[in-house]
Amino acid sequence: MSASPAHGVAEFAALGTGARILTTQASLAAAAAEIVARYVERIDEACSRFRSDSELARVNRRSGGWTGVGPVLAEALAVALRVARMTGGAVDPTVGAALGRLGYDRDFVLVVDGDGEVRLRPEPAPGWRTVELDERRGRVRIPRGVELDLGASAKALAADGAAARAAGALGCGVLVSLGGDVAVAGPPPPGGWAVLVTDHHAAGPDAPGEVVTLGDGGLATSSTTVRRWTRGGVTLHHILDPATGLPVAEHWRTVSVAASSCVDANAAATASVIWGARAPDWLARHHLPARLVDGRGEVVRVAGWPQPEDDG
Amino acid sequence: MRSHQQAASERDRLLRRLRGWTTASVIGAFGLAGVLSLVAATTFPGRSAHASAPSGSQSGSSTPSPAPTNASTPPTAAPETPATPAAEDPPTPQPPATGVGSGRGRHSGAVSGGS
Repeated sequence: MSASPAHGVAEFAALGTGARILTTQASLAAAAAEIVARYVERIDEACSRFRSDSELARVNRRSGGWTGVGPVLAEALAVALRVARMTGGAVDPTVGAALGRLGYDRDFVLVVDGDGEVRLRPEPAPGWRTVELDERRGRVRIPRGVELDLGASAKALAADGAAARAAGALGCGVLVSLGGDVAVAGPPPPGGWAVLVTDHHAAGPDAPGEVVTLGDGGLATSSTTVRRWTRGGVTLHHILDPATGLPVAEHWRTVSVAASSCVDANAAATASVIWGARAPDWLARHHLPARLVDGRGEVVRVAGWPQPEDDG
Repeated sequence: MRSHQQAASERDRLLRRLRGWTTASVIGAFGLAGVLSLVAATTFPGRSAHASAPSGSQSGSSTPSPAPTNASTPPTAAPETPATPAAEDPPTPQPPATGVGSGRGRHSGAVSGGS
């Protein structure tokens, strides 16, 4: 596997992970990166659970009462609630407190393995239906003690929004990858954007995986192999089942999904990790091309995901 | 005789008054119900009634909650011809318009992986 140098490329750190921007015109990569960085910063200021000055942190601090929110957070909350409805509650924004109880209460680079005791008693998340979003008045109310986490959908929303803005402003094809959540907009390169799909977004270009092409929409991968940490000798990861508030059993190690937007791709990928063996049916029913890798490395492809023997 | 007429007159007067109270009570009850409905609609705006509902399904500031679902079970697909208003159905994801093709081993420098 090798990388094609035909596009403009720019990279920077964002949202606690890495951003990678590709443009069909090499000379526009820097301008695209500037547009993307600006938009991603707005998302971070509004939606970060770890920044004490973010709007979301304020909403969490003021749980129990109405809190005014700006248009960026209002959109992100609406998207998170839509994702929750779409996935039957599998991807739920009210798992913030559960993540905190497990030790994921700060930017992941600052989460360290520790001997501290961890309570693994099942405790369902409060549930997305407890979130009252009044978009007309720009305010939200969550029950006292509930903490929202938009990590599952806000990063994908940022990728979608950033790609659309950059492509619209520059008139070229743009690919935005935020920590492996990929969104494309504008005219793609001939044959589409070729994307390496693998367990970890930061893996090198020769990491084991498959290369697929994408002409529109988004491609996202959720994996239990990343954002892992230990507490009291117990290995934990960041994908929680809202029904238990605990990391999901690892039926699928990694799930990649393509959809008409990165938000939907991310939602479907994360929900599939949670649903386990029931996920392929749902993905096929919605015609979402997907690649699911189980704990032993066995791969299941559904809804038109290309077979590896297609590789030339 | 006169006393009997007076008693009947008094009875009729009381009955008229009772009818008046009944009518006023009914009108008042309807009015109060209307006012309370308005207050409730303004005070409890519902859960993301605007952006999260499919277009054309927004009928006010409150959206009925869908039936409870188990997060560990994928939701069932919406029927081909919805028998209920669209707001009752969960939104459905769409595949990319151009699908996914084989990259034949050569990628453009973008990686999709867990993060």
